[in-house]
Amino acid sequence: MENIIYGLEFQARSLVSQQDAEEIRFFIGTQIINGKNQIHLLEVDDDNNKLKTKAFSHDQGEIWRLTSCPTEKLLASVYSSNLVMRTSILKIPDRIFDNPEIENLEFEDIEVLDTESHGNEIKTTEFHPTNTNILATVVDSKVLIFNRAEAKSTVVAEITSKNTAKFAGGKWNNANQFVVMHENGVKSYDTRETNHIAWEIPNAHIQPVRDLDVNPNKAFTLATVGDDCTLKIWDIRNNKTPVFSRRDHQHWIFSVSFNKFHDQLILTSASDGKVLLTCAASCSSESNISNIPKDDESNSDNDEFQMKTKKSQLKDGLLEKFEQHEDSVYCCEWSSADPWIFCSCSWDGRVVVSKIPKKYKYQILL
Amino acid sequence: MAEKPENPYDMNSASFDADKYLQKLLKTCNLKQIMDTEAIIVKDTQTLTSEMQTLVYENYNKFISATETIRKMKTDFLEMENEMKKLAENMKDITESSEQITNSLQDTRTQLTKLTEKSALLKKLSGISSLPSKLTQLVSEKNYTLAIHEYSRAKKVLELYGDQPSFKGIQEDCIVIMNNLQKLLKDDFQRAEKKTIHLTETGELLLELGEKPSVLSKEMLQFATQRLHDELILLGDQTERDMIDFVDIGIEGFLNDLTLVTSSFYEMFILKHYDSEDDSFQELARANLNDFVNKNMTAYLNLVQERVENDSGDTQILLRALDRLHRRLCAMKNLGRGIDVPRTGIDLIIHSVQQLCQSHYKILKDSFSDNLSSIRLTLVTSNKNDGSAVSLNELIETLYVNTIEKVKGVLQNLLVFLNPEWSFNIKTEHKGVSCIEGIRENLLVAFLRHIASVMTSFSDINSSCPANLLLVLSKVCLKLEKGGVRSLLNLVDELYEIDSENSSTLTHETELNSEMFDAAKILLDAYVRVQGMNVSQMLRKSVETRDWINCLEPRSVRAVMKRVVDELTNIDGTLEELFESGQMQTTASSDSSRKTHFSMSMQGKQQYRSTLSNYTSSQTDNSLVHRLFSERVDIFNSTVEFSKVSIMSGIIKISLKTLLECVRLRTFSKYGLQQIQVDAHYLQLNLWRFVADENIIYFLLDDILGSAVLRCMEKNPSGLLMEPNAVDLIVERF
Repeated sequence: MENIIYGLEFQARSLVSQQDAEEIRFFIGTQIINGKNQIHLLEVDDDNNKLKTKAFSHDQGEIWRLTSCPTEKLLASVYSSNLVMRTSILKIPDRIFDNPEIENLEFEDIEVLDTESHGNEIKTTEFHPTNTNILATVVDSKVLIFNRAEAKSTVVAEITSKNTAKFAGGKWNNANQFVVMHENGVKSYDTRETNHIAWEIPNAHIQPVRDLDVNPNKAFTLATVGDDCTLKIWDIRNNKTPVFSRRDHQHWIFSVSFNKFHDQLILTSASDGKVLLTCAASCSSESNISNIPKDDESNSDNDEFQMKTKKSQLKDGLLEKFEQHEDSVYCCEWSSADPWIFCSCSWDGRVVVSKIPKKYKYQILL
Repeated sequence: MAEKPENPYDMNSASFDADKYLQKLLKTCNLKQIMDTEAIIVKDTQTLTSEMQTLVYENYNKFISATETIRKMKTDFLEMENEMKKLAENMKDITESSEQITNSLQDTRTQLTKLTEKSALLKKLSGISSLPSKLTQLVSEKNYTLAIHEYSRAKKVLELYGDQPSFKGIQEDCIVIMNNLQKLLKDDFQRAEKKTIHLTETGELLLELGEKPSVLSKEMLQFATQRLHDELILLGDQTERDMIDFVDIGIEGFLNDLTLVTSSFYEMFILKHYDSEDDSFQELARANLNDFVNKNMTAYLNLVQERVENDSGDTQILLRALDRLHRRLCAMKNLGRGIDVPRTGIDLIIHSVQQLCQSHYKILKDSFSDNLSSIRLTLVTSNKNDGSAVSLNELIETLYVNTIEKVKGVLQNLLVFLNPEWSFNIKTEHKGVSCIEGIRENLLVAFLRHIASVMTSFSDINSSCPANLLLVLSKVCLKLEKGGVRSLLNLVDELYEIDSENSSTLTHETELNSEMFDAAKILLDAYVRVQGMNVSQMLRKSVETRDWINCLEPRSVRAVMKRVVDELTNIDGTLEELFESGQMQTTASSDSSRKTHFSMSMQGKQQYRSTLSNYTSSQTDNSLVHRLFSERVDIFNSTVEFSKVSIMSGIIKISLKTLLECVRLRTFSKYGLQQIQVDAHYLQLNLWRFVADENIIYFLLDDILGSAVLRCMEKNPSGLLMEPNAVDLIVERF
């Protein structure tokens, strides 16, 4: 199997892999402005190359973003209805596939976070990497930290100047730092203090940053993508020059994701309809195993040739183009359970579950 | 008579037979005759008898006188005998006395001989005792040869009687003097400012003085090395002089000295044979000499090389200097057997060629980067005033011609190395040939590669440069690919007579051309991307900042659309200057553009059918299904070509895609949707003329409007779209 295609038949902008799960599960949220929205669950049966699907109804509104909790079976959605944006925590029921008759499931519990007083434009709600009770929400130009145990929220970051753009989103860097995307750069706020910028990369891209991801295995390493079609990997101790950069997309890159198991593998998806698998071995956590010289001119043909001629580590550069989508691909996610499977979702509702080609797999493993 | 046959008839003969004669007479003669004969015979007999008588008488007298004489003599002899006896006695006496005298004189004589000997010895001794002073005098008169000659004569004596106290003193004195002399000579020897002959002389004198040749030879080289080293240091300080002076000083000072020492050494130690030394001495000496010459030449040549490296003056002067040096080194070739002096000289020249190549390479690089920055400056400053103030063609031509001419100049410049008037000929050496090829490879080819990579670097992710610069560079690359590379390679091949066609090591023209073409391509892609981003930026800001919910009913096209079209027209104008317009794929007629977006009825299979007409009658999600069946238009898969429409298509595709993405991120009210409809129509009317395949524009605009419909918050949004005529009206009024 190379990939499985699944059609939602609705526009979709959000996709997440369930993190606290043994199964290979992806949730895709639809974006229907006037209508019944759903969160589709795709469970990949890797042995039989089959998908098990279920749909959860999401009547609260069209979904802009989904995130998953690393410690519990929880999702967080950002949605809007009648121009009002909200974010809520959704509890995934345990027994989903018990009753094949029922098509539309309901979440066990839905908890709407109180963001009303802080602004309307919610970008994301992110679960704390270790503490289930803590969430960070990016609203307008603020970062809110919710503590569910104490039922309170604090604004840890706020940009008050009027002429700047709002935050475009964010992610936890570690337990105490939350990185937000702001215009062409990223800022990392220390969540224990208000407006304490731990570090920042002011001009990471020459156009707005669309997404970022934190390398789960290597501290200080961050990947950013943006409208300038560029993927950059930074060692945040040097915010002037990236340690790795590629420009293989032809339009805005919407999503970037490190493979949790082999962080040299990076997935990006863009509005040119392509999902690209890039190898950044030189700045990965496995780079000390072998020092791979940077080869800027390596293209996939060359790489294949190299692989055939000698059993070497993967070279830096573009590994593979996945072109099963016809529209802009807004999301791509690695499976949390299987290091070799990822899912991508384009605006036309096409969801593609793909596998890393065996040649790369073997090269990384052997 | 006796011999005659006995004639018995001859009276005078002994055999005369008187009877026969008488008978004969009687028989033959008459009486008369007999009578006459008798008369004659009687007469004759008478004469004879008388004669005989006289004779006897006479003899008798004589006999008597003789007897008398004898008698007299008898007495005389007696007397004589006595005398003789006396004489004998006297003689005896004399002998005795003479013996006595001899005996008495003998002692004196031996004494005399002894004395004579002594006197000679004394004379000598007096010479020896005055030897020190004499030697001193001679030394002070600088007549070393004589001094040494004197000394060597006296030396043996001194050695013989050295233990005698008196001689000891003299010997010591002499030794002191001679040691001084030796020292003096050595100093002299070491200074060696003199001619070879002097040096040789001094050396020989020293040898005569018993200096060991091996020691002396070593010393000679050692001191010469020291001296040459000093000279080198001195030479090294001559930094302010030009190259020719430098080489001249080197030749006059250092090289002459070296030659002098070498030739003296050769004469002194290698040509002669010394008993005192081993057989291997000469070999050793030769080896030492070679070593010495090699070392010093290397040091000198290193110095020259260093100097050449730091030399920034005229190539001609440098070359003339090197030529001079080369001649001198050639002349020295006969000097040291076993070392190849001019070879190192050639190496030096080759090295300097290489070095010159490098410096020229650097100059080329610098001048290229200067050119680039000046062009960049021109572009930046002109952009501020007026975008079309500078002709890009002019800039391209300037950069191209400057680059080509500069390279040509350098190639001509380097040609001086091959000037036939030089005494050296680089091409004869293998190294030289590769050096000449180095001009091609390390200078020209490397430079071309360098400029390609420099130009390509402007398209790097982290570089931000004016879009037009990318265009200029791309065009320059293209020009180079089209002919510049070939002309330069041909030039270098011609000038340096390099056979690049049949060489496997030399870079081939096609290789460079393809590199240039790639660079041009990359730059063009970058240009498209940068311009696309610029236009995108305008569109993105306009969509992001607008309130699409509370906007009013569209009365006009938004101003930003006009700006976008203006910008694209501008770019189109710029490109027109530089590129051919390229092929229009469709037979796009102004007809189609006149029609409204929704009433378009396309002809031909390749034309994309607008899906928007379906919106009025179908559900929104049906449009997605419809899209699955409609022909897919891949926007980003075509590569940009070197033609105006291709470039424009690239820019427009990126821009419209941006608009699409922006629209999808927003939510629209009815009027917002209608505004998008108006804008899209405006774009459709204005953009088709820029591109090769207008279907792409239609496809994207359809997508934009479709997405806007999907993002419209009203119920049944597709029913809210304006009537095509109304849209037309608004756009036309704009």
